[in-house]
Amino acid sequence: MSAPARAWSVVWPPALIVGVCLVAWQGAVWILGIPEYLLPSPIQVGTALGFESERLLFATGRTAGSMLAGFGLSALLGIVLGSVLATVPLARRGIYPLTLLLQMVPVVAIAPMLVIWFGYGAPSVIAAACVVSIFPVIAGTLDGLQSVDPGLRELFGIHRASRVRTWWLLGLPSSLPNIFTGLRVAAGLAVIGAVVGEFVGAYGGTRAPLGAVIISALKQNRADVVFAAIVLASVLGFALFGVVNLLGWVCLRRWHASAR
Amino acid sequence: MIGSATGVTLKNLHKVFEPDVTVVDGLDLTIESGKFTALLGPSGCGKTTILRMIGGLEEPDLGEIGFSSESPTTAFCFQEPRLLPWRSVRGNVGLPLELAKVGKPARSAAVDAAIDLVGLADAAQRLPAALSGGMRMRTALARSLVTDPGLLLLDEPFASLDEVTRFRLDEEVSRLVRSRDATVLIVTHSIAEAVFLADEVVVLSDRPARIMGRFNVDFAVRNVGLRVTPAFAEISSRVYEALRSGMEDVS
Repeated sequence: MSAPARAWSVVWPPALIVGVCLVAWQGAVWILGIPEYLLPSPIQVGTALGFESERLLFATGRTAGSMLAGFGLSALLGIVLGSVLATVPLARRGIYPLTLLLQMVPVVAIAPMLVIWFGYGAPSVIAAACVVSIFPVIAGTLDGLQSVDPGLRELFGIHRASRVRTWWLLGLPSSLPNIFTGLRVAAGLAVIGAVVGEFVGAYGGTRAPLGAVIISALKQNRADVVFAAIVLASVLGFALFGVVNLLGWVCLRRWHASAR
Repeated sequence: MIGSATGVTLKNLHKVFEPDVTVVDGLDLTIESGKFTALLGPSGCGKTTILRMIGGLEEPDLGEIGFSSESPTTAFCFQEPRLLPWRSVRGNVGLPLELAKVGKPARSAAVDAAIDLVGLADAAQRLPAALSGGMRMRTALARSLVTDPGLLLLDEPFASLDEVTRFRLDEEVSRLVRSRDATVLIVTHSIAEAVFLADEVVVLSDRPARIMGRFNVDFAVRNVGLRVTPAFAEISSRVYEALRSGMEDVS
């Protein structure tokens, strides 16, 4: 199968379902006469996207920046922390259960504390994106490092490789499939963390990010703008997921079954 | 990294695995420096454990392991190739030198030489997934030879391969290691392999491993024709008798 044909075979099933859902949504709004402030139709959302494009695109850019910074931070810290937990059994027993808290406590509950610690603006939003998305990276790294082939570990032991070199040359490459699984989950969570962080910690006004746009649109009963902002946040999530997926494919395609 | 042939002496070696499985029980054995020795015994008799203790991968419960040189350079070739799947043949062969922090130019020359030795020059850039079983074992063999070890420990390296490939690789191993200043110890349960490769075949009984016989194998030429000679058949038959008596002894 040629590359375009393969790409088309991936794209058309979800595109078809999205198309059918949009038609059903539009039809339901028309037929049932649902008011715009309760559920705007896809056409109304599209119109809002067009009319508010400048403000919404600026907001998307700001949210994208916070999401990327938060995701980058969680990727870096997650891999480092996962590696430490895999290497130091005492840290694993002591710290790993606590990292579950990051997964259990809702970000809406943490966000106000982050504002207290980091202040209003980008730092608290980045922190929210990081806190929400770090756990899958830690878990993926830890799982990957704990499932390194014991035979290969023995090989490195025979050659008296140091812990750091064993991690760098064996543990890390061997864990890449698990790390990328964690990063894919984290990509989706990072956008949620950024938007929720912006609900609480971002400045409003004309230069507001998506989360703040949603809050201000809610206050003005502009459901069409809320939906438009949600669409753009989803696009951000998909884009980051796609980039991580592509990166994973580039790193693993030659040797790991998951990327072939 | 160049090592000189290292002899090995085992004195009163004991090894018990939990729960109370005695694998080696007071084994004494001397492996002469520069010789190719085969440890032959039935599956599960403890021969791999002996090899792993010599290689430092297992600690004996009792007894001593002595080496004829002060700091022996040892290399291990396992039953499985144990290759890093994300590294090419070159990358895998060069790994021991990389871990020993050998500089790039010296490493590159040694890796090229080892890959040439095992006949994988054309496949040097391929990943393990793109190699046949025999090519993977050759890569593992090149990796164990690249440091020029004084003591080479081979743990049934070709056990999982088909017989034709196995015979071919036996011939290659014989050619490769006999041109070096190294002591080689191979563990196998194949009589034909042991007799073809080794200068001395040490036959072990079923668990716990005891020495049932030692056979000097003195063939001037070891090539494809050797396996069909009467001398080969005669010594194989004697080795078989010792092996069988070791198994009957225990049962």
